[in-house]
Amino acid sequence: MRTSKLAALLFSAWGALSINAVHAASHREAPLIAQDPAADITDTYAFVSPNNPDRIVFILNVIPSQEPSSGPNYFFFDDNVEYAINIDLNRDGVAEDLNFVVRFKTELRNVLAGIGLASPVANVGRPDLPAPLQGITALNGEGSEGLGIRQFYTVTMLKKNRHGHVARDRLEPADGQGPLVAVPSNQGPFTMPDYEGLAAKGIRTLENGIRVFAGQRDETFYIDLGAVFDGPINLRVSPVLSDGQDADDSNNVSPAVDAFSGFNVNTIAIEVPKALVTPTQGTQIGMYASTARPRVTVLRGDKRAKHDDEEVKFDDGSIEAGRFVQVARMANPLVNELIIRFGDKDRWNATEPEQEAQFIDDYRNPSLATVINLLFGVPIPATPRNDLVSALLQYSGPNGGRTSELLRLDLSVAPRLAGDNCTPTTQCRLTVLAHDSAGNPTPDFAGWPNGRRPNDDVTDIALRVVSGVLLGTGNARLGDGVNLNIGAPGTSVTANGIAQNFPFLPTPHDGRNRRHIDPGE
Amino acid sequence: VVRFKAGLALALLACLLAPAAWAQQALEQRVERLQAKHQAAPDDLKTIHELTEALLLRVRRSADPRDANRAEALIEHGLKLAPKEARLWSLKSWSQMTAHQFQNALASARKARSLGASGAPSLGLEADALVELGRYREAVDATQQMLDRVPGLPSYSRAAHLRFLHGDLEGAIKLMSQAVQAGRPRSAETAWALVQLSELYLQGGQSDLAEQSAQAALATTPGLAQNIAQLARVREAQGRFEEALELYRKAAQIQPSPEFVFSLWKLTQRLGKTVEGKRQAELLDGLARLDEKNGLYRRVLAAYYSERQQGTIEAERLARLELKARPDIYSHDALAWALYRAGKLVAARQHVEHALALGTPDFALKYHAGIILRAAGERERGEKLLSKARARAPHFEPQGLGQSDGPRQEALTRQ
Repeated sequence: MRTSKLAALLFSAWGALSINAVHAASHREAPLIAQDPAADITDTYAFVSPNNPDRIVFILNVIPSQEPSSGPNYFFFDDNVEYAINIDLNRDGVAEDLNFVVRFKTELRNVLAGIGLASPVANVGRPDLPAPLQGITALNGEGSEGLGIRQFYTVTMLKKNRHGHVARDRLEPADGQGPLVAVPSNQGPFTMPDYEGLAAKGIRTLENGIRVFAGQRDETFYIDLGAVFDGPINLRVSPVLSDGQDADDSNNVSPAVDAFSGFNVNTIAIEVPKALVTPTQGTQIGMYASTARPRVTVLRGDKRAKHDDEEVKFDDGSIEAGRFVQVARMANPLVNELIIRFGDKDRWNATEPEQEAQFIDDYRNPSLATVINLLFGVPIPATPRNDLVSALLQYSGPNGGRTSELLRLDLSVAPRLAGDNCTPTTQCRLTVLAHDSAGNPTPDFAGWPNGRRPNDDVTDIALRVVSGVLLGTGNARLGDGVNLNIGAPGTSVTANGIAQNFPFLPTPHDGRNRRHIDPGE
Repeated sequence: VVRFKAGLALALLACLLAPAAWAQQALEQRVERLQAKHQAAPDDLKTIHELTEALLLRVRRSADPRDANRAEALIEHGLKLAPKEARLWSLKSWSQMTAHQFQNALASARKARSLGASGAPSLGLEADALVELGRYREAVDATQQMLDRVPGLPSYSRAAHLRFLHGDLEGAIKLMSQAVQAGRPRSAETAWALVQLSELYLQGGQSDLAEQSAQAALATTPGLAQNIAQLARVREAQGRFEEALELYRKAAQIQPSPEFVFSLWKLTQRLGKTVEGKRQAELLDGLARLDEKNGLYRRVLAAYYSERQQGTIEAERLARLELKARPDIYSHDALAWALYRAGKLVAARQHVEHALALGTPDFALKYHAGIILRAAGERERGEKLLSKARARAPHFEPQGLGQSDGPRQEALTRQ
């Protein structure tokens, strides 16, 4: 009996024996691949404010696919990440003329210490708890006592003059509302009884009239993600939409699924006076967003190392790590996902946009075009696809400049207001490719690829552009059937999910009442 | 203040991490879907890549040799179709690392890079192989390249380990904490980094912080034997031996690897549980026979036989084989200890110097080295190492080998 038990144990051990071991003294099997959500840029936007043409809005979103109800697992910016908006003002393709750098510092507080308890969750608020824990209504001072994790942040502007010198200016709040604090995840109506009011307190005015917001928002990007990347491209609807379906910005085509319905993201939005971003040539600027982590030297004090990760003290008293390494960058949507080939994605993220020439073959010979041709029988243009190079990597006009993967925005194009549907004065999801239900063109030049607004349907536009519509071939009705950000919560949001006011992304779904809306609901 | 903040941060982190069972389920579904795809199109390279990667990821958790074998077969099939496919060479290196073929893994990783693999995995594999081969300077360089290209959990955790090996425990903790922070909450990768962080805290004598990290890892991946075993180590450090014993039993039941069974056996010796100890010893003897061909656990088995009255010849044999295949500081330590236990003090003394070469603050290394040096007549140096080890890990002192080692030590001293 004892022998057979031992034999059974040995048999079960056979599996373990054939593989690896565990801790420090043994083979460690450290992960080779891991996601870095706090530095993972999901979307970047740049547009002239629809409410004030004298102001330009830049948005950087990180931490993808946040399930609102995943408490106590909420979502925070990372103190070790440098978040940046980088702008090219002189058409040289190098976005170093004006940079806004945002850094966070997290404060941890035991919010129940006053009643002699250790808090099991980060943020606390219930109407039946003793004051001041009856709900979080402020980010600073009275009403903020329930915030157990509070993320302070700074915004630094780096501006290069014509001699190449960079002035570094930490932008202080000019509204007398205390230090800058990120708006926390929307846990629910007990914890945050007036989330919209709380989030409004996160919209701050800085020196130079700049406005800033950092915090959670509704994920505005809409796409039938599961269908687009199954295969790839196994759409639930006919990939060629009818004129009527395609012109309708306020209804999705059943049974297409908005995969991001009910999910949130973390947003950094900066609204700057137009005068601050006036281009030195022409009317266009270029921009991209980036995240970076401090450069780390493996062995501290290693004399062989070219650089050290020791902290550097700046003239203004702030202390930062000496150098940063770019983790991710994003300008035009879907470039990394659909154009850059698989093995190059890490390298692409680490390089600067002006070094894009090394990836130019991926633009000239996009595999996505071949897929579209094979799957849908759509005729595609012959390679090399210089139309894609021009559209994504160069400024418009006779002198497009060096190839640089930037999101380019023409400040002379008048913005359009948010509206429930596409009209001559309101935003159209298909931007320059918009049309009415009879198929007549109704272009809206204020959206992607002229900058990008939160509700531009970049999936449908990208499919069409890659299929060759800029060259008069391809198919101008290709689409995934998801035409709007469905179920966007909050007030000041149009029926088709466009937030009407800064930061131009809707209130995030709250943890208690979140819904992911499927077709027919 | 720093300690309080770290404690509070970890306590909150423990609250924030929830079970990652869904992630495992997603991996199972992915493997299933890719297998069907591979059956439909066996020569599709993309599917071969993805399926191999998914299988190797599953091996990390399941330790199922069938997955490892299938991954290996897929790689060979893929390389026949596309011998210059960089990603396949990276996967081959990964598979070879899993099989402890470190020299081959290094060659495959370098081949992948020469063929254009530019991502973190090929650099990580190269760095890992170099660490196992004891080529630390090159490992630092490869890890630096990885950090400069893709900072994040995979590169931070490797750099943290190298800092620890080179004596910088504080810097290692700092970087491993960053690795945890950079990882996706609820992911197996973050849980792994938390176990490493727990071990680093343990090495620093901070058992409360070690416990919080181990608990956070357990909250993320509750059924994982490694996480349970790490909490057992913490309980040992806290002197809560019965709880540690129970946790080791649980870990060994889930995954009866020699590492866990050896820890369990050692604890039965300490607690005088002779019946259970005998059973675990029989199991370890059987495991040793099973491992003879692959040699994946020679190091821990050498440690086991070093502690057995009649096992010193076998311990030395295994340790010498291990040193040949894996010439790192820990293999030198294992051989030094086996030689010492066999009464070969002069030879043991030589390997101690190799084990201490980097100044690694590992308390097991320090205990072994301190005892050997003391026995070899370097009393002051030996005592210094022993007092450092005792200050941080009094409960891990080898049993019966303290101030008085009994007849064996007297014999050694006479030698």
